Amino acid sequence: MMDGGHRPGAGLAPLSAGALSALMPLHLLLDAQGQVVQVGPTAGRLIAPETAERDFFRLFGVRRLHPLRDMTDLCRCLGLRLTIIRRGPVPTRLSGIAVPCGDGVLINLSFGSGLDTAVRGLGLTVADFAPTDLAVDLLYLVEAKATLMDELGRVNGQLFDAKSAAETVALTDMLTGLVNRRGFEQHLARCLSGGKPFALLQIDLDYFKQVNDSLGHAAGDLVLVAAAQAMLRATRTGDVVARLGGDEFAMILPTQTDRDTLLAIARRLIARLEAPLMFAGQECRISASIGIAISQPAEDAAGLLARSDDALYAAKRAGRGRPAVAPP
Amino acid sequence: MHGLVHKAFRGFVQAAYGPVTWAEVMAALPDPLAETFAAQDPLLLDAALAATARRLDRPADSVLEDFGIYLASHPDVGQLRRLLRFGGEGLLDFLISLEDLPDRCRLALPTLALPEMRVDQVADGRFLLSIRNGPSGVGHVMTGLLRAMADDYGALALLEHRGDGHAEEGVAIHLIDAGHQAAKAFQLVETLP
Repeated sequence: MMDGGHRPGAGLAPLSAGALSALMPLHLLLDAQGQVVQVGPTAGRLIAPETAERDFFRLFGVRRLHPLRDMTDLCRCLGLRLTIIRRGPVPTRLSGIAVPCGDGVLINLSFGSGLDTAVRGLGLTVADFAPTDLAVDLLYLVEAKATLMDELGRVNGQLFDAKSAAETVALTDMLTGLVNRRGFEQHLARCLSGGKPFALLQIDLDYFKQVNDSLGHAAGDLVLVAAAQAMLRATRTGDVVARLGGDEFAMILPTQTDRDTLLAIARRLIARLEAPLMFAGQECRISASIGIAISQPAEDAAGLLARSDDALYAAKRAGRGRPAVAPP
Repeated sequence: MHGLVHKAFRGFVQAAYGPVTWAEVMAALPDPLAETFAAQDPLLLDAALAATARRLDRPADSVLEDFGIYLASHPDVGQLRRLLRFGGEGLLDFLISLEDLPDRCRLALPTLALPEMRVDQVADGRFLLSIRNGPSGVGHVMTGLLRAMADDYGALALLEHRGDGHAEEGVAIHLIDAGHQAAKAFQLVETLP
């Protein structure tokens, strides 16, 4: 170690190297040629132990609005804030101030805002800082702030999740997990504003009331859940299946606009809904009537719903358990 | 870009051009902008900026410069102006402190990565701020921010954006009179109300 190796020239402040090191563990003393003649213990950690280099300007880069390359440059900036960069594979940025000392210059360093990186990189401990240095207090503050930020971030994330969940719940039918009437209206509005033709199917379960009245609400709920699953199985990604309330359902098929294809889909769905269901040893049988309307250019939600409603009643009047397509 | 930057940009558009303009900008975007703490899609700010420039029929560069002025001077983000004033006693000290800004910022908010900045004196009273690896347009934001800070420090300075929006951007600073006017008030610790 260079620590206390040489005594600097005459005129040095009447402080021993030990006293200076205790007050300023990050100090460097340069002679008139810019050779490092004394190093505080923490500043010593910045200089590779194996190096024989003593030229301050080779060990460190110094800047203040431009590079300071020698003692003449440095002496023009005495008393001012300097940026000092430890050269080497992992450069460390420090702040510094230089003052005249004897024939040479005394420099005191601080890790400044790069403190945390330097402490990690150099493996510094509390003992490496003067008791009057606020560095450790700063590290404490950074640590405490990071903890609080983490906590705030977590709370924020939970609130965000809760908000998303609440929004999902508000648009979902709790029994079947299908989109509810509000969600259906939003989807319908989106499809209408999209401008592309699509199909709307209104589905009423036939004989549902009989099941509900004779076998009870639990049986009714089971039928509704099974019907919802049958409808989901009959649709593709991008289709919307909604329970509008009671035994009324609706589907939006954004890509199907062919009359015959739609009738085939509806018939297949009715066949699935008619499959008998067992509840407490009793057979539950239902069917469904389906009103189909294909959206027309410039048609609004009310107009489209009215047409699919008309088709639904036509299907019911024709004897239930069948689909009907609304005229344009 | 960091959620805080998104929030600041939203605040800027709302304060400078009105909440209706912001609503129109948002309507032109596929997704709503970020919440404060979350790191977000870097394309979002670009999209919001482009939509704002389109809506105002102004070049994006000049919108960014106004954003920089907003950041350093608007009362809504007065705390940021205070943090900037920690840079030093005068505009020159402040310029020098910009080199420390990314590190200081990292201590406060590790997820907000500011680009590397360097300030060189190129002639008497003339300086060049160089910004490396920053997001495109950062030089315009810094031009506006320095304009506002020069005003804050009471300095008379000419500022000019440098660079073509690629890897390195910068601001040329001609400091004509550091003490042109009295600096606006600043105390290290805020007076309690």
